[in-house]
Amino acid sequence: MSKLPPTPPPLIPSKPPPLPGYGLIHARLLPPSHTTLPHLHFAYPLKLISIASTPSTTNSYQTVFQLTYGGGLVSNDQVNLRIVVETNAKLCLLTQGSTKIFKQKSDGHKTRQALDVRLCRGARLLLLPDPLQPFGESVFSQIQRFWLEEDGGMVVLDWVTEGRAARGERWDLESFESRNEVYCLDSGRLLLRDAILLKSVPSTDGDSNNTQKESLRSKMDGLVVFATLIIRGAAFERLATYAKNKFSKEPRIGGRNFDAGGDESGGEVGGVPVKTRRRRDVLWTVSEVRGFVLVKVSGWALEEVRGFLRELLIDGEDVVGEFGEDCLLCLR
Amino acid sequence: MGEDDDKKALGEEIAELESRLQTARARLPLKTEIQSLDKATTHLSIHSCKKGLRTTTPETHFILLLSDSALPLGSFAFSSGLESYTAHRPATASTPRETIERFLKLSVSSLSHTTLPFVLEAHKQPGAALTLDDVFDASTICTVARRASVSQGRALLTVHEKSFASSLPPSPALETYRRALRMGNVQDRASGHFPVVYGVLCNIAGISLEETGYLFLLGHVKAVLSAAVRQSLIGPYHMQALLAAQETREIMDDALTVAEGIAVEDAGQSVPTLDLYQGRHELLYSRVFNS
Repeated sequence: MSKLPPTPPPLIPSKPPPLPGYGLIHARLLPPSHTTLPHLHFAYPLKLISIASTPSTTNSYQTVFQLTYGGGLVSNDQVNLRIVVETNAKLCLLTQGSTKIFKQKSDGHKTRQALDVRLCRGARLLLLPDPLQPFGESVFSQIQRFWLEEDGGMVVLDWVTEGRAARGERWDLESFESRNEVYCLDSGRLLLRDAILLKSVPSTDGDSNNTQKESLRSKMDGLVVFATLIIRGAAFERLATYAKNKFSKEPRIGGRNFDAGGDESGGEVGGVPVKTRRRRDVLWTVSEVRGFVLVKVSGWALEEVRGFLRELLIDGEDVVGEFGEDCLLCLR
Repeated sequence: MGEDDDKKALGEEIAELESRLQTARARLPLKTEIQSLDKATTHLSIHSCKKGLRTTTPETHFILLLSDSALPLGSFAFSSGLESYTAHRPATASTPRETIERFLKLSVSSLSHTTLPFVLEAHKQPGAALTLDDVFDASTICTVARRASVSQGRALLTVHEKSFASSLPPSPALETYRRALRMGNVQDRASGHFPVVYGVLCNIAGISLEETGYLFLLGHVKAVLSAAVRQSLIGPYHMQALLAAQETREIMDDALTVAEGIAVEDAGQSVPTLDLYQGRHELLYSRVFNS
């Protein structure tokens, strides 16, 4: 409790400092229902491209692509993006392809990404990036903070894959940290904190210590991706309910399938006894915490997890209803 | 059958603790003799009971009480994810012993990054218990883990209220905390999370920071291993062997070192697979444990 509490981006936009990696997105609603971007700033190595939704849409939104040069972040790259979504405005933030995190070149050259978002009343944010892909020996830390005003809605996907599997890299990163924190805008109270901390295990060769420590790769049980979907707000209530219902209808583990239509019954997938399951190779869970619904998805095949998330967002209706199907780019 | 095993395990545990107590007592006069004599007399008058060298300090006394399996926290109802973990792993992948030994390491490592920092911080700042409780509540995502934490935390508060309060100095911090659990307004109501209650209570009992961390870890290790015994992964003798093992103590030492370096705002899940397995505990067709 020693550190100063973080502060939300100011409502009145100020140009970000002309420093590498700084950026600002400001979304505003022009009545009755047209979302505009009065401010969009960025500096290398960050790049932002905006696309307005087709004018025919009755309830318009803005899509911004967050790009990096060469599709990734190299050692010592720092990205600081601030976003303000004003009352009732709608913003969708996407990427084009996974964010590759390259090997750390020298000590202390951490690759960092910070996102600070202010969501005003009735504002809706969709954050559906492609997964982060930390390469071998990379050092990365990301913090995404969201300040919510009453009724602000958000759907945020944060996911990380094992690395360059084609080159045999599986969780060979040096360290990886990703945190998502949601605060109440008025009181500054922390509403939710979801953090994942991965660290390589130093090899203990020649160490007198006879404790054999399990490598990070081995700890992951062969899982290739970890995804967290955070859902909040009345605008996405149907999605939240759908996810909860879907989980409660998951087949019981270790039970017998007495249903007549057991067409997919039997077998084991990745060590999990599966009786009936639509998506194989996916391991997931849902929790409801302080007004949020969190879906955690992992799996032994990235494409299966992608497909699972896509189905969830389409069947949950809200996201596609608010932002159209184009926003599901990262899940294709 | 399970009860017999439990009793056996309990008996052994008590015997082990008693022998540790004896060796500790035996060391006490020895240590003080080495120090200069005049210093030794003042030292003793502060730290031991008046009746003589044979009795133990109140801190040690409370350490033993808190480490007792008979402490009514209902910890036996929780397996910290072990039950779901074993259900998710193919029975052929490893022997039951390997399974529990691996799980124990993963579980302690996870605990050192998520929960233990809160125990230590609550011990350092009992006055901040309410804030810590709120932050821990915001940071604990897994429904099953939340349930286990709140249930044991509240039970420990009750133990304090009904059993320990009369023997310990009064604590305004704990009283405020306890009152906040009954707040009418749901938003401001505290949850009573186990690590926070534990840290504050150990502080009141005069147990040092390191010993508090160690005690919490030992409690966790014992709970996991006793769940393993009841799940028939290992027998009660092997449980004691694991408890006594140098390796287990090293794991605990590592965990304490890690946790001391993590501020509560930097806590997070270091073994994401555990959250998944534990979250899927709800899906077990039949279950023995609550977590």
